[in-house]
Amino acid sequence: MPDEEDDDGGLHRVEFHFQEGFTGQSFEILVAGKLRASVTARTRFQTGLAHIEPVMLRDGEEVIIRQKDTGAQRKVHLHPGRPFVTLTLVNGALKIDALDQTPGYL
Amino acid sequence: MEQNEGRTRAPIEHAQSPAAIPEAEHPDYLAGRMSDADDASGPVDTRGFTPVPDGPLPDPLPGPFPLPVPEPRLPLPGPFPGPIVPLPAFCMAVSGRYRHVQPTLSTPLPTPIPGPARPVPVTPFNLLRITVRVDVDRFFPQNRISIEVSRIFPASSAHAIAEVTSDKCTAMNRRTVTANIVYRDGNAALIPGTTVTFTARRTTGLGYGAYELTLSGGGITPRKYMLAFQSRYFDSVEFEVDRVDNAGTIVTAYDTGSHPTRPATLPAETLSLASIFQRAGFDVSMSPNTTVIPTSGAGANGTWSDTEMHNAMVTYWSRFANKPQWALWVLYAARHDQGQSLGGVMFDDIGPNHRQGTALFTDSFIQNAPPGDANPAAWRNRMQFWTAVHEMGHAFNLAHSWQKALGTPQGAPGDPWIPLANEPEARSFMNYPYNVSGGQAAFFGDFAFRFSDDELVFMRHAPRRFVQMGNSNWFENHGFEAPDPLRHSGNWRLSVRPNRAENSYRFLEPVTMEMKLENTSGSPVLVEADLLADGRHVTVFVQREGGALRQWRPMITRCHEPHADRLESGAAIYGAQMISTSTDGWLIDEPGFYKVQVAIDMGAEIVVSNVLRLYVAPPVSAEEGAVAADYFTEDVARVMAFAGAPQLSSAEDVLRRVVKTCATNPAALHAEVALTNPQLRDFKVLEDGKGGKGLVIRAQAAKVDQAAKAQVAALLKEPQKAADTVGHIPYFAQLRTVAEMMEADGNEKGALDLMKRTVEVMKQRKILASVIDNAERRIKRRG
Repeated sequence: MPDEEDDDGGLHRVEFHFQEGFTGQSFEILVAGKLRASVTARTRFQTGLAHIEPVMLRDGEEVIIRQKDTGAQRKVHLHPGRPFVTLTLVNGALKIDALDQTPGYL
Repeated sequence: MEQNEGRTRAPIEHAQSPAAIPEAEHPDYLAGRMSDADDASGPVDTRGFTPVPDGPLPDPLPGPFPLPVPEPRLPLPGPFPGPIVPLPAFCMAVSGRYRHVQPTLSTPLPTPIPGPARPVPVTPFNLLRITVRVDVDRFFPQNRISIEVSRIFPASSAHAIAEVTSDKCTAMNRRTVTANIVYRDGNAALIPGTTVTFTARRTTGLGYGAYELTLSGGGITPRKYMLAFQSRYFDSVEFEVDRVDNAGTIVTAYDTGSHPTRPATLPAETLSLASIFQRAGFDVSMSPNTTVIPTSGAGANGTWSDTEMHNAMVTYWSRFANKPQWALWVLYAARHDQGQSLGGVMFDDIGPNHRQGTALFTDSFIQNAPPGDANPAAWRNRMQFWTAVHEMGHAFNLAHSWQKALGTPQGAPGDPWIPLANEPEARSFMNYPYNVSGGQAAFFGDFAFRFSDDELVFMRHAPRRFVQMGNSNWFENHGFEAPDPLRHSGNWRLSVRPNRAENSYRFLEPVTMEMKLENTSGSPVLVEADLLADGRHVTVFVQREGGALRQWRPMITRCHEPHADRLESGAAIYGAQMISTSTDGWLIDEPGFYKVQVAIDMGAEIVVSNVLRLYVAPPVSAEEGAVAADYFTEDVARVMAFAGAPQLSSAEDVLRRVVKTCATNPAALHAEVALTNPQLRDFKVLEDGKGGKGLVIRAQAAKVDQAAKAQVAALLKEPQKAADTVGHIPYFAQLRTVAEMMEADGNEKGALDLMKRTVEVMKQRKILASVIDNAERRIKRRG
């Protein structure tokens, strides 16, 4: 579950939902400066979803999303109780939001 | 192609059974138009002609035919106080699909013999298939007329959509709808003009009896097409609903009054998947072949991947085929591999034919009613029903409401079919309820269980390949259409052939093609025996490679009483036509390669022949080149086509020159026959009478001996060569004519001898045994 914690406390599962606007761009998810996941995102028009990447994070860890081909990067502001991070690409720029409930796709 | 007929079926449990409000009573149904509104700027206020304002429309309301109508204005007895106010005229609904028909020019043929019905052509050749969709009333009218033209041969197609600018009811069931073309696709020349006018009027009864489409504007001469009403729907579609055994009770219908969050004006009724799409304009049938699929089909993990669902579709859908068809498979499963976050998906962007299958997942977030919802059970039913329609909408190539403007024009994948604006707040089946301002409660509080206007325009009027399942790829709808493939029933095979060893011709040599139409239906049929020979039913196109395509128009057409003969399965009828000359000149008059193709309208289908490629050699002598300018003229064409025309003396002079200077050219044989043929009988000519007598008919005396001698020499000196160039059918017909003329002239022995020689050539040429048999019987009858 996205809000599960480990025995040490402070370890949370966060889902990164790459949603609209992706046409095959590659991204890296950096946690505390280290590469944690690589994602190639291509939006599927039927569902408005490209990819869901779950990542386990500790409290306070800095998360950065970096677009590989451009080098552009954005810091992700994580909110307690909002473990669903949605990312959309609008006119070449990443739009990032955090939700408390899992986004639904149809 | 795979089919799944015969698979064991099990009934599917549905949560509710459908019972939609009858359309005539539904507030969203527009039953027609009154005479006092003459433009399309707003919908007709149906309250004006309902017995009770705001009440239901009279039942039955004008459906296509029987209807309550304003009473006729009969003379009233005696003086009547006050002015008599005439009742407004009413025009019934006209929305639906029409097809172009041609007026029948001949008497229908007798009832076909028992066995599969095989239409026999009784109309002139119809090269154009025209479908017209009129959308001005009934449910959610979009005020559009769309036209789909398919020229069967040579194949080409076009599509146009026109926006209604005027909709007039000028008398009882006399309606005129005018629209301007705003969208075109395909070969624009097939739908010329800028304005579309659709008219519907009464003929003998109260209902509409005559429909017509006129194309005009843009400087064209108006073109009129007679139409026939086909359906009140724009297309037909079949849905098959299957369920995985762990999906639980599935929701395929919804009571719109069951949840309190709804528009105050929303009528309470039970909607089904079928009724939603019927109101969108489709004649929906639900397949009886429902299946309960075992969970094992989902693989070891019990959830479904897109590939597993595609495989299930191939296995369990009774209509599955790798081809475009108006049919859709709807799967209710428990959960997708993605987990609860996927409520449904149009999974079928796999393989060559997309959009044939959709799925929804009963164990997903669509089961999660908001905390504190007033009726969670109704909420879940509504969400499941809504999701099913949403996914089915994707199969009609509808994008999400906020994705409509994705892509850029010019045909890249993802382009909208026309420039569209996103509709992020649309109360449509294609929006996400929880993404609008105010969330799902705001959405359903204002949702009328319908598609948006833009979506309805697309579903009803876009080029059908964009919409039809299995046709254009998902989300791709701007690609230029290859012409629709010809529809083959397999009942007929038409072939065109020269009946000679090589498809090469000498310069000047007239080209005759033999056509064969074979009954391949497996059953005997009735068919017009002269179909290929009378010049009225076949259409021939000739194209010199690198040149323009030209249609052959016969100089002679023969009108006759219809006489359908029984044609056994495997049997054929034959005909031959000289295709070098047409009413608008010579079609084959230069050296080079040509393509020839023949088509015939068999009523239910256009049957098209093979494409025959032939070669015309360059001149082999200076004489052939020199005579060409005089030879390829209309007059010479007529002499050749009519097998003689003594009044066209200059043309006959040219043919004599051909006989004299180009003796080895097969054209000389044709010329000899044409020059001497009129001499086989007393030949009547129309002449200017002397002494002010006006035109008089004069008979030129026959010179049978002389003509027969010349013809026999031409036709039998080198019979193989002669039969090659004249063609079997006209060659043996001409020999028979000569023999009959000789016989009539008293030369029985010469005639009999010619008949015998003819049979010898028939046998050498290995023509049909039945033809030889007939010829031998004619000889026997003469002793």
